[in-house]
Parts: sequence; C-alpha cells; structure tokens
Amino acid sequence: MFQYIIKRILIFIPTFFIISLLIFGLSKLTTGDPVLMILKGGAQTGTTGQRSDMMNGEKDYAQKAQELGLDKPTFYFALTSAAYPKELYKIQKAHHRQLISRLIDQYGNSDAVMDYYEQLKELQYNIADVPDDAYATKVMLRSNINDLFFDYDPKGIEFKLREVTTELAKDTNEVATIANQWQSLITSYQNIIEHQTPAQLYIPKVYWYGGDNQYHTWMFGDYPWLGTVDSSHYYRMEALSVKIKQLRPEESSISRSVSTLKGKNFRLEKKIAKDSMNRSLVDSLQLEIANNNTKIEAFNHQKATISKNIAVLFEERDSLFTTREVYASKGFLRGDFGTSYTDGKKVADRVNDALFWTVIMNIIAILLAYFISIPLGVNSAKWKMKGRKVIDNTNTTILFILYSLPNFWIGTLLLVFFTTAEYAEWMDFFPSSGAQDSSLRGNPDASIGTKLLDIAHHLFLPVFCITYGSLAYLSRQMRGSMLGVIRQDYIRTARAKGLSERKVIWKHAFRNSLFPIITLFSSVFPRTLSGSIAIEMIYAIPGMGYLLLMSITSRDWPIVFAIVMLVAILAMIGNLIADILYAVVDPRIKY
Amino acid sequence: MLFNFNKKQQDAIAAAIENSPETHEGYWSIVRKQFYKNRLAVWALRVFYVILFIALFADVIANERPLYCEIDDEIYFPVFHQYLVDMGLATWDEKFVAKKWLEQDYETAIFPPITYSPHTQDRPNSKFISPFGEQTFENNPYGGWHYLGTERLGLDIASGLVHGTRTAMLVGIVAMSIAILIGLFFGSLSGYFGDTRMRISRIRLWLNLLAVLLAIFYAFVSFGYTVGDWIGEGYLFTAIMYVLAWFAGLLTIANVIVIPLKKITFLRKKVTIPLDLLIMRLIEVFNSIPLLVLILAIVSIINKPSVLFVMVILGFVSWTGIAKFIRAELLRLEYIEAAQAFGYSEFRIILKHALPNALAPVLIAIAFGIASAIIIEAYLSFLGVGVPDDQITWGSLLNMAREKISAWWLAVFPGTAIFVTVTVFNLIGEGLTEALDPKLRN
Repeated sequence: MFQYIIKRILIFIPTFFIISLLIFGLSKLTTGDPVLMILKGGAQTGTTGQRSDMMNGEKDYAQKAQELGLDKPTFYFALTSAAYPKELYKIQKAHHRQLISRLIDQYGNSDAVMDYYEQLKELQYNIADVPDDAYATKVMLRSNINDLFFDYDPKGIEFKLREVTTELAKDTNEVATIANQWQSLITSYQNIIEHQTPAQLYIPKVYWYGGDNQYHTWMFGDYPWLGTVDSSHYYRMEALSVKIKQLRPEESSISRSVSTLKGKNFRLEKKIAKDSMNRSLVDSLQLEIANNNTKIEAFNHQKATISKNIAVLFEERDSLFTTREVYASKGFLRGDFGTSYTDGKKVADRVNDALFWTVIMNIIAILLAYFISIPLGVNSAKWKMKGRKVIDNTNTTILFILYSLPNFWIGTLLLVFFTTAEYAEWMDFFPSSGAQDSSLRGNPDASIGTKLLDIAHHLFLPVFCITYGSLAYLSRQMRGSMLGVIRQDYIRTARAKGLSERKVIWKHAFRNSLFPIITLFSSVFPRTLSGSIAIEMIYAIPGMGYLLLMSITSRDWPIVFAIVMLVAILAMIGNLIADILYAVVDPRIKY
Repeated sequence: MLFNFNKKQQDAIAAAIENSPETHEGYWSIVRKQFYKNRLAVWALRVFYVILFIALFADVIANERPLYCEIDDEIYFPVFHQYLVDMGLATWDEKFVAKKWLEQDYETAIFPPITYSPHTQDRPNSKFISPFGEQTFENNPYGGWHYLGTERLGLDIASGLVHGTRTAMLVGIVAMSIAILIGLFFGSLSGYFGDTRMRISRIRLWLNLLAVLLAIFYAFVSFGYTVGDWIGEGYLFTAIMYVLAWFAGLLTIANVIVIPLKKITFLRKKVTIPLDLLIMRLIEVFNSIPLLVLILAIVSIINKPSVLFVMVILGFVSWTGIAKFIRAELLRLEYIEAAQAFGYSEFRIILKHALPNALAPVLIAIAFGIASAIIIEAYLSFLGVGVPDDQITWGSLLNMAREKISAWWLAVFPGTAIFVTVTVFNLIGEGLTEALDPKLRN
C-alpha cells in the first residue's frame, strides 16, 4: 500500500506541471501590457514630451520589465517560422513587438521590418527635439508617428506616410532634417514591400532559449535556491527611496510657504499703493514686506539645500540601479505569485487573507455535508427497504429538489428576503454582507466568544448555500450505495445468522457502502470550492472567489491565475486524499 | 479454426444476427416502456416539450412588433418580416423606423401575448415596477401588462425570460453536441483500443506525430494571426473548421505516405501505444481543475464576450464524463469480441456495433450535461463574466435582484426558470438511468 501511495503522489507531479503549463498559456493570451499597467499613474510618459522624458520612460519601462521578468523569452523553446528572428523577445514594449510581428507575418522579411522599426523609433526621438515654435507641425508628426506604431495595415501605413509628406512639404525650413528622415522611413517601408519573402513564413523553426525564461521564472523563480543573495544594494535603495519620500513633502511645504508669503507681499504692496497718504501705515506695511522677504530668502536657502540633498540621494540610487542584481520572482513553488497590477502589492499577501475565509467556509461545509448526509442516506435506505413509502418519497423528493436548486439563486433569495427589513421587520435575521462586523474586527475589547458568534452569524447563510447541494448529492449517493449493499448475499447471511437489524445495517452494510462516499470527496470538494465563488460575491465575503471576481473585472491577471492555480492545487490535493483514504479504508484492495 | 466460413458467409451470418428483431428493436422498446413507467420522468419530458416550444417560438410569444397589423390600408406581418430583415432580404418601411412599435397608429393590430421584446424600454414603467404594482399605459395604448414586472430601465422581465429560454437551450444543446463529439472520439478510442490493442508501425507513428506538429505550426503559427483575427471578429466556427482542416489534411497526407514506406522492414516494425493510459491521464488533468474556475479563467480573457464562446468552451471542457461513460461501456462489452471473431474492420466494429450500444448510457450523460451547461451559463451571466452586458439571460436577470433588494420578482422568477429547466433535465436523466438499469428491469 505504501508503494501505491508513493505512486499516487508521483502521478500528482506531472499533472501539476501540465496544469501549470495550461494556466501559463492562458495567462499569455491576455491582452494589455503588464508593465504599462503597473507603471500607469507613475512618472511614465514615454511618447510625449521631451527627449529626456522619453529616455526616462524607456528606462522605467526596462527596469519594470526586468523586475517582472518580462525581459525574458516566454518558454524554454519556441516553435515559429523561419521568418521570425530569435531575439524578437528583446523588443520590450508589447505593442512594438506586436507591430514587428504583424509586419513579418505579412511580408516575411524580418531584416527589412526591423530596419523600418528602427527608423520609426529614431524618428520618434528626433521629433521630440523639434523646437516648440513649430508646435502645430510637431503635434501632427507626433500623433502620426505614435499611430504608426499601432498600424500594420498597408493602407493605413501608406496613408499616414503620404499625409505627413505633404504636410512637411508645406514648411520646409524648421523641420528639414525630419523631412529627410521621413523620406528614408518611406524608403525603408518600400523596402519591406519590394523584398517580401513570404515563403519563409511556411518553414517551421524551433528556437531553444534555455532555462532563463518567463515560465521557468514564474514556476521556479530566478532567485537562487541555495545560499543567500547580497541584498544590501536592495535595502540601501529602499532606504534611499524612503528618505527621498520623506524629503519631498518638506520641500513642497517650503515652496508652499514661499508662495503664501509672496502672495501676502503682493497684497501688501497693493494696499500701499492704495493708501499711500497714510505714512505710518505705509511704513509698517513696508517693514512687514521686508520681514517677509528675509523669510522668503531663508526658505529659499532651506529649499536649495533640501533639493541638493534629494539630488544626491537620487544620484546614489541611480548608481545602485545599474549595479544591483534583479530577481524577478522566487517562483510559484516558493510561494511567490507575482505582483498585483492594480495596487502593486504581492499577490501572495492578498491571496493569503482571502484563502482563510474560503478554506474555513469549505471545511465547515464539507464536514456538515458528510455528517448529515451519511446518517440521512442510511436511514432513507432503511425507509425504502421497510416500504415506508410516504417518508421515503418525501425525503427523496426534497433531496432531489435541493440537488437541482442552483446555489446562486438560493443565495440571492435568502439575501433578498432574510437580510433586510424590506418585507417585514421580523425577517431581518442576518447581516447582508461581509464575514465579520466592522466594529468587531481588530477590536481588542471584544472577547473571542463574541467574535466567533459574530462570524457564525455572518457565515450562516453563505455556508448553508454552499452546503446543501453537496449534502443532497452525498445523501442520494449514500442511499443508492446502501441499497446496493443491502441487496448483497452476505447481508442476507448476516440476517440469517439472526443478527439484529441494527447490527446488520451499521456493522455490515454501512462500512461497505461507505467506500464510494469517500471517493466522492474528490468531486464534492471542487464543487463546494467553485460554488463558493458566487456565494462569496453575493454575501461580499472577502474570500478567494470574491477576490477572483474582483480581479477579473479589473483585469488583474497575476491574481486571477494565482487563484486558478491554487484552486486547481486544492482540488488535486482533494483527489489525492480521497484516493489514499480509499486505499487505507478498504481492506479488499490489495497492492 | 473450427468454422471455416468465407467472407461472404461471415457477412451473411453477421447481418442475420444484427437484424434479428428481438435483439435490436427489443432493447429500445424495453427502455422506452421502462421510461414511461416513471411518472415523474414523463411529466418532465412534457415540461421539456413546453420549454422547447417557448425557446423555438420566443419571437411569437414576446415581441414588441405586432403579429399582424394594418396601417394606411396596408397589411403587415412585422414579426415574420423581421426574419427577412435579419437575413438581409428585406428592409423596414420608413414609418416603422421613425416611430416605436407600440406607439404606431394601427387600424387593427394583433400583438403577441407579451407585447415587449427583451430590449424594449418601457419608460413610464421603468424603475422596478412590481407585477402587482401600478403600471401606466398612457403613451402606448398597445402596451400589455408587465406580467412579471420590470427592472430599472423598464425592460419587461417576462419577455426577458422567454427569450432567455432560447439562449439557455441553445447553450445546453450546442455545448453538449461539442462535448459528445469530443467525448465519443476519445472515449471510443480509449475503450476500444485499451492499453495494448493499438499496434501501429513505427513509420506511421512518426509520420503522424510529425503531421500533428506541422498542423500545430501551420494552424497556430503560420496562420496564427489569421485564425486569431477570425476569433476576434466572432467567426469562431470558421476558425475551428480551419484549424481542424489543417489537422485532417496533414494527417491524411501522412497516412498516405506511410503506405509505400511500410515496405521497409525497419519502418514496418510495430509499436504498441498505451492509448487508454494517455487518454485517462488527459481526462484526469481536466478533472483536476474545478471546471467552473477553468471556464471563468478562459472566458475572462476574451476581449469581446459572447454567448457563443461560452457554449464552445463549455463543450470543450465538459467532454470527460461522456468519454468515461463510453470507455466503460466499451470495456465491458463481450460482443465486440464476437464482432472481432467475424473479422470485421475496427472502424466498422466501433461505428456499427460498439457505439450504438454505448449510446444508451450516453443519453443519461447528455441529459445531466445539458442541465449543468444551463446552470453554468446562468452562473456566468449572473457573475457578469463572459456574457455581453446587453445580453439578457436568466442569470443576468437574476443578478439585477442584487441591485434592488425590494424587487422580489427579479429574484424569484428568473431563478424559478433556471430551477425548473435544470430539474426537468435532471429528472429525464434520472428516468433514463432507471430505465437503462438492468437490475431494475423485470
């Protein structure tokens, strides 16, 4: 039997990896650029503004991509056509990669396409250098060049190329260099069209990338398994960031005071101009202005030193950036599920809290289902055998109805009728949302008893909703299995021996009819797990289902796929436990 | 060999056995008799016919257009005319476009029993009007009573339910059809060949593997963007057919090339493929992931949600039960050995002997499968994932109940529709199970 268990656990491993591949594949099918999603709201500007802004934007992007491990190839190998270059993954921005890939897909000539892309990028920088006096031209150029990064339809590209050419022909003085470059861009585009190699698209090619890839990083992590990492750089950078963050508000508060004082002075000067007759008043006001001016000077001095300090800190941090070692992830297997797109927190932390409520609810639900359904199933089988038709029929009908009732409907009905006083005062039994009362959460004065009671009050309806379906299912199965066993010959033998009915049922029939119920654990567990998704949403329980749905709506993919993985793992563990239990419990199975 | 029959004689005997009335006809008539003994199941079947009727004739039951009307001495059949318009064979008269259907000046008009389409906004009766509440019909004299109330925008719940029936049935049937196709394929392969009986020559194995790899390359890499764009534009079936065509074509070519190459001794050597083991592993992987979560994950990454995707995805992930059923059925059938003794080809045995017999238990799986597909679709639209926002389904109607707790009709009626339909299919499945159970048969 030991061998069987070992074998069973070993089978678990390939299944796990196949599922992880499936989920990784799904995660790669999502649209949107993760780096931009995380940087969004930050200092990233990228496509507008000055050259320096754009450079910084690119740098930020590259850094973030490195931190997320997105600067790596997707998988250990890639099956592509001969037309695609091996190093395509090194183009970091997702939409740039998309443009190149689409163009290659149309024309097959990767060299020409890369040339066109390089020209396009060069032009984007040069356009940023166009002086602001030619503002209209600059805006026109910028919007066209930005559009060209998204355009792979030949008609669209040609239209834009032509339009810009005619626009540039109008005023040649300010943007002569741009006009020249634009001509070379057009040449490079024509080069793509003229030197098409579509045949290459139909030749399969396999590129080998090795272990340093996104899947490997996601699953196993690129952080070393053995030994420690010198993270002094990292901590120093964190400390610097904290210091900078502290200094920033100081700096801005000084600026604010300066501007208030300046405003005051302005008003005082106005007053002086108005009441120039009143000598004494003017004198006092002028004194005040002078005082303010000295204050402003002092403030300015202070501000200059702070700015200098910040600049020094920045410089140190930037220098550390280049020398630090970046690890994207510790890997799923070591509990690092990545970073959330929406709030930049670790997914593991967010999932951790959610997991608690889901697991608690499911454990209670499954225990309840088993504890009620087993005696119920045995008894209903007894009723059937004894020919007590009325009670047997009622019982089976109720179980059948419970089995068919969708739990999200019952959840909604209970929510509508029993959580508010909308219909009658006495129907307001239960709280309508949350797993705990907000006044009790984290309140040190409340005793554990009150807290538990409060949680029970909150979880009663949700747990009921995820229990009754499994309960009905298990009871029906138990009844069927019991009926099957009772018809067996050895039960007849037991009766013939003169054993009491109680002994026959509980000692002989019960044990044998229990085995199939144990294996059902593997199907009941996923059932309650996925059932709790809707229930958590209806009752706003901050569990995994709720988190999953919230993340789906906000397109926070790391959380979505981490939860899908975790649920799959939980279900697999359920399967494993069911199989092992079955082997342990059933003496008939030999290994 | 004991009996020395020639091929012709074998066929004649086989045909005689096959066509003997008591074995083939008898089985199904017994099943039917058993099924009709179960009163509940028979009632469920009747309700199923009603649901099917509602689904088929939803347009005639709930529609803002009149069935028949006369305006300006001209006769129109707007409900039926709509079909022509949808097909692009006709256009609407100016006056119908300019004015709302219920506000036209009809000389005579016959309306469907529910005078609202699922998307008709009845403004005066908007903001959650109860079926027993006050409903006003001053502006549209032809507007009928909202039997099941309205929601926030004044959409009629009864009409939504009637048209939702169509979506639900369609989801159940399409998803199950796909599941049956895939389940039949894998189930019969694994049940029939088992671990040992799939013996093919080396060259055939290699070439088929190569063909599969090439098909993956051409369908998903070379023409990946084409296929992806099709899916994005909603031509899902074109895309699937295109991909399947690549696989079918390349596999055919591979198997034709095999014929001359098999003459080489080294390449002709047979290898055994543990088909059953491989397929059971695949099924286990599928079963390890909670279905609903997998569907949620797949559906949520689609940019343009549509019920069609939900149907197809449901079909693609829920075939495992059917495959297991068929496999079990094929494993226990002794007559397959008998058919083999006649020297029939494998395809003929699978298609003509094994599958018809395995079909009966598959019917059970289909009934339960449709029930669960309908539940999952309702569940997804209840959660608002994967189904477009403006699509009115039972689940989306039920979801509106959370918006306004005092609108009990939004919680009660759509849920009842889901419950009744699911119960009907479950009862039919139960009835079939009992009818097919040899232990219960007299």
